[in-house]
Amino acid sequence: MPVQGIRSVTAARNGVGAFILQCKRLEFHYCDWAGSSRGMLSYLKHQLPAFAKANPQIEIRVSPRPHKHPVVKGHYVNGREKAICVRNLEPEQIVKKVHLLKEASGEKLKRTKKPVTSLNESVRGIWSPYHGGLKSV
Amino acid sequence: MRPSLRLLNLEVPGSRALYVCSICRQEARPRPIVARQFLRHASSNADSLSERVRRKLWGTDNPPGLKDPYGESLLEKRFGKPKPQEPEEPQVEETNELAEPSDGLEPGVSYEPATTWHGLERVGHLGRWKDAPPSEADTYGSFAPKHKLYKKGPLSLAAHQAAVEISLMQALNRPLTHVCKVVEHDKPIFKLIWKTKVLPTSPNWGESLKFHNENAKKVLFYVFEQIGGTQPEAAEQEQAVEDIEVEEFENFEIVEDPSPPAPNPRFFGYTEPRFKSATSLPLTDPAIKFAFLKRFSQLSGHYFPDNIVSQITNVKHAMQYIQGQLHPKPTKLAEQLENDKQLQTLSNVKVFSKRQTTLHRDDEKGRRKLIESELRARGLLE
Amino acid sequence: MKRLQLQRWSSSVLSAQARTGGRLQHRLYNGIRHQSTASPAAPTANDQLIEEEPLASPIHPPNSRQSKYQLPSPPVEAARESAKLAALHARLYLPSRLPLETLARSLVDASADPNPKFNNDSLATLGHDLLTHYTTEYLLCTYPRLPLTVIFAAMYAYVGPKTLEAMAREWGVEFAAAPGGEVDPGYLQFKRMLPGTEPKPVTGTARPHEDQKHWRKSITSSVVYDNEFGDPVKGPKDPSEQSRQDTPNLKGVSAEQASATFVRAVMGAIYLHAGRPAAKRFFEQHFLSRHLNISDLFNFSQPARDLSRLCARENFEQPVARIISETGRKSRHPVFVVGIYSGQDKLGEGAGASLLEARSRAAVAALKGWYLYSPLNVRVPSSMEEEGAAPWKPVHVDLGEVIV
Repeated sequence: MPVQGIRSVTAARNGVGAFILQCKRLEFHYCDWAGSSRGMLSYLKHQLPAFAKANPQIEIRVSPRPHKHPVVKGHYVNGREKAICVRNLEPEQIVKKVHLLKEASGEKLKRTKKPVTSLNESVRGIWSPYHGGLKSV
Repeated sequence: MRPSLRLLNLEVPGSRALYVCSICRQEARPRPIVARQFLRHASSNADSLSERVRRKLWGTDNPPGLKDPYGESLLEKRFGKPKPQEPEEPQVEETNELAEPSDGLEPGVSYEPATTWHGLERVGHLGRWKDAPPSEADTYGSFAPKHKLYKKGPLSLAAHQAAVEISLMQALNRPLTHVCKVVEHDKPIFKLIWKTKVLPTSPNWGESLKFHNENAKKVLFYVFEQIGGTQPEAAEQEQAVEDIEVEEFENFEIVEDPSPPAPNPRFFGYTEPRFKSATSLPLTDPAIKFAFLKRFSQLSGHYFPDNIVSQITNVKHAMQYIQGQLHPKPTKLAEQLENDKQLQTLSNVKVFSKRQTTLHRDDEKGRRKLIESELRARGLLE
Repeated sequence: MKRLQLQRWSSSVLSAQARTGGRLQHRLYNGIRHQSTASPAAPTANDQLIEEEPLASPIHPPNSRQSKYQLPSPPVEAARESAKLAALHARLYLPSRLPLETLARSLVDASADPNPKFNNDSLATLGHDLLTHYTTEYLLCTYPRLPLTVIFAAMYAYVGPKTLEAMAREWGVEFAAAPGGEVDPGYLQFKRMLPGTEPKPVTGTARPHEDQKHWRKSITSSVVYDNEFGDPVKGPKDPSEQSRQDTPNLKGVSAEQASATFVRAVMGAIYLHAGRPAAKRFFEQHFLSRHLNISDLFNFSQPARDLSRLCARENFEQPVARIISETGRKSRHPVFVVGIYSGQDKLGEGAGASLLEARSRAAVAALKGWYLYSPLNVRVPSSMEEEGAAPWKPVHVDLGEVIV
């Protein structure tokens, strides 16, 4: 056999073709009675419909959690989840927190050292000592 | 030595370490003389503090009621001289009760109801009241009807009827609240009321009616003239009214139902007012407002609290208040979200009314039946 | 090509109880191509295309909790109430003409619900054919000189089950623990394999003498007998045998296989409901946009020999390896840079720690340079299906790989 094929798997490039939002589910928990849920109740009543309409790709589940502080929990495509406690927050602050959860990739936060990461080879190539301008000793 | 007195002795001027605060000092002092005046044995004194207070409260020198509101002491009761002004009633009543509980008094004995409990041995019924057969006074007639009105049509019909009645009374210049004496009109009268239109043009209620025709006006004025009059006279005139009405029947070509007087349905089967203009009538005059709300609550069965009465300015407000009472806003967020029109159209939102537990999640994922079957297999679940 | 009446056919998918044994399935089974997925409903013995099956009567019991547990897969009405399903629909930018019910159906594997009217087998068959068709034409037109084994590997990389499983995971599809009527229809439902079961080798292929394991399998024969990835598949069977084989699949499938079936079924559903352009757009956005370096798929055993054969076939001068530069020949880490020349043309160049290694690297580079030729402005044959397409100009077709 002159040449064999090596089986591999294509790598995803999210956003090159279609873009899949990494946040797949948001869970809103609130308490009907407790005062720390006041802002959350107002958010769920007034801001949530607009948010849900703008983001149809996120599954939104609203369920009470009596005698607990209000929590927004995001579930991500990579299987991780992020939870933010929004006790005593105003609706405007909750809007920001929900936006943060929506934009997150679900990965652990880590410091990026290189400004660009790419699957493609460098266009310029790697410098080689054996080519061009060789000096004979 | 009592500890409180010891505290007092410790107070030596100049020594800061042994300082006793003013409250403790006040506590430690012997009781003042004033407090002794509240003691029971001082009540015999005519010029005691309680007696003076009572006089001041009642504003007379001979205040009614017991001199000592806390009762006489036992010793005084037993050994004290019998009081000369002991009333006779209790004994009389007791004998009566034993002889014939249902009947009034024995002939010859004049019964005088006591206005105070002074001198009565006990207050209340003497025998076992619940064993006695019910008398006429025991029956209770409610002001409000047995069943409240819940639907919008009958409610506005009640408002219309109340408005027409109050307007009629206003036009006749008779006491407005007398309309409440007639709980339900006869069918022809009601029909005339139903046909009367209320014109909310003038602020004066008496001029706001537009009758079906002149005859109806005459009949209604005649009928409402009688309301609140003396009883026998009214009955007499009722007969006259009946005659007129029969004529009216022929004029209106109403087929009389010969069936025996069965319990009428509410508003004789009418569910909607003919004219809905009554809702914009103003309720600015307090007398009219009171009369209208009284009649309206009698017809509808809904109660208006005082703060709401002061807020209401026209008939529509009263209707809105009852509507709000009938359909209260949900207190739970889940109910509010379920009624939200925009959220209902969004298919990616799911609202739960109960707390979501692991059990729910397992059920949704299909894991629950696996767990249950495994538990059954091990005999941990029957 | 005759235009297909998609709307008429998609109705059979939409209402699962109606007309599933209609013309579509007959059409699918006429060119019998049984892939790795199990075969769904057997075509009826009489091949009357026009005749429609009477309405089947799998009437679901009322929507009570108890009866839900007895269903093998969620009822059709549940699809409208699932937030998960609606979110998945929006996340994949699926066309609105593709109803949620069909998406729910594509999430039910044949191992969960053996009834072909409720599982995704028919959709997956269609989707698999579409995927392999589009990928093949893309690969052949873009890289006309690729060896067949590399094409197989590239096909596997683009639409193989491993890739499809990764895609399903990246789409945010979660697996149900066990299929059932009470399960949210947004979960992928399949019966899982028992732990420890090994996948059995495929038997019953159409290849003659398949029991002779030690016999050499030529590449040409695998074009005929094997599937798109060069794997053995079950051969076609008589229709009479198939009806007996239609028993529920009690074994269960792996998560990889179920995910792959789901992705294929989505592709088929888009084709049925939204038409060919939408399906092609979906393919380009979700499949072709993935990254694959084809030059990594080659595995040469004797590159220098292949290269000399290639040059002989193409009437080039015989390739000659020459040292371009070197350093530290006597040291512990010598580096040789060797170029392969055919006459005056340098075919390839490679660096290695020894002369032989450098030469074979140079030969590999030369061969890859030949095989990975890609013409500019490639058009694929399926672009002719669009309205108002420019007239077809034949694409470059190469002789193929060298035969050693």
